[in-house]
Amino acid sequence: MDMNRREFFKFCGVGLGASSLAALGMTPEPAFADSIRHFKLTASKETRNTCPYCSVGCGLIMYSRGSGGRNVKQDIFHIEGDADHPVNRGSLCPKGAGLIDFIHSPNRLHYPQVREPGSKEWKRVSWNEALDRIARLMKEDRDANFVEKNDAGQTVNRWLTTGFLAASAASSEAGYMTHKVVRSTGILGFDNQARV
Amino acid sequence: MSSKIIEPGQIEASATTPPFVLLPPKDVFARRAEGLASLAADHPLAAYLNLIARVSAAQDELLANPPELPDLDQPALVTALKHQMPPLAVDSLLQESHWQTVLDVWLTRFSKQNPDLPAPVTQALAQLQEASHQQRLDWAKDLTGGRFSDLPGAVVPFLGAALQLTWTLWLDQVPAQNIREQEDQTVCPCCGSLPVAGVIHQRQPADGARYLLCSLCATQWHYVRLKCSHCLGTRGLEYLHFDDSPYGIRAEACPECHTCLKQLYLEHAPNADAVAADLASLDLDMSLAEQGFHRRAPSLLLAPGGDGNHNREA
Repeated sequence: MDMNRREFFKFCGVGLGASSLAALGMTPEPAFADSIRHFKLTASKETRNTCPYCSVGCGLIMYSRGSGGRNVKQDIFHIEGDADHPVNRGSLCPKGAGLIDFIHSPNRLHYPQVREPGSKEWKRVSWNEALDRIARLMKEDRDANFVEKNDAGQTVNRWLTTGFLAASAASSEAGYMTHKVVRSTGILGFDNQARV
Repeated sequence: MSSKIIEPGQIEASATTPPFVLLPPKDVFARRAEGLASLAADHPLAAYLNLIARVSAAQDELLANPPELPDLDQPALVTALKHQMPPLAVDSLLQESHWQTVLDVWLTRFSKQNPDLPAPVTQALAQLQEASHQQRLDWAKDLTGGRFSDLPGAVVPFLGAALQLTWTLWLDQVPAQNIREQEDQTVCPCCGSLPVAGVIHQRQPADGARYLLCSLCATQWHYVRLKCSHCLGTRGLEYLHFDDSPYGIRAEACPECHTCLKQLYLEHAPNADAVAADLASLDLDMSLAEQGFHRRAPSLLLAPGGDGNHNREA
């Protein structure tokens, strides 16, 4: 079959002149073609993602409105399991099925906060302050408690007083990076957020 | 949108792979006829939708009481399946005269059932009835080959209906369980035709999965979602519909190859038929064409009457 001669299946806007509609005397009113210009086309996007909750890593499809342009409000309006995903074949547990409310929750954390030792109050801090504070506390703790050699004098380079909890929806590659970064500081106690 | 509550048995169903091929149910044409008749109410294309509803009803009747057809060559079917080729390949089976028998019987039944047809329709039926076998074969090749401007628009829905009916009847002879799953299957694994639309299912074992619906034999086959069924692109796909779109239809538009495919979301229209919803949402096609998105998916029940040579695919 000569595939190259295949035409696009395209309707002529004005009057649908040569279509089966006209040929059978069933052309719609001329106003039909005009009216279409006044209908508003709505665009939505469907995007694949991974559920953030546990280590099963179920596939999701997220439905959103709004283009990627600036000053356009983007809004996720529906989330469902991804039927093509080999892990969950479209199904979700009750937590995963409630993800849309998690995204739109008014109680969601929007910025870093700190509750210092002895204080009852959460204090809002900037990202820079938060990261500086974490780095400083980690370094102080590591400097104070790092174990370079064991009792037998063998080099062990352990840092046992700090632990690390990483994300659950991480890919194998992200897991590898986590391992490399965290282990290189000497931390032994680390896990992925898989059982919460 | 609220989440659904899982029924007993659904968890097992979720754990299985959705079937690759869904053969059309026995009432495929009856449901299409019902769908078209209900969509026709207050529709600008009411006359045409009602006509196609009658066409589908006649297809339904003949599917239940088909004319005597000789069996297809079974070794050829088996060989085709073994080599992952469509067993009912449209370009080779068109050469057989069986479909012309079905066309003759269908034309007689349709005319008998509908004595009150308007003059242009009876003229088109007569034109098809009187045409030579060779002429009908040429028209059928043009229609299934997507050369819509090379055959008269008036005979298209009736010729298309008889072709659909023949291929759907032939599906009985295909051992569908032997069709092996292939990734990126963009044409029908049974007959090699292009899909007319996509269908997003809402019942197990295919809940949430997308199937492409064959424009000829009504077979549905699984095709991964969020992927262009023309260029296989996955980037920047948009899902376009009119505000308050009533038919559960959204068009998957690919910014890379500028084609679009209409999809029926059964979650929003559980009883809808994709072919009926496609015909009823012609306005969406016209709007998308203005946005520069071309449609590759043919409907055999409506010749688009585009401007012929100027919109051929490169």
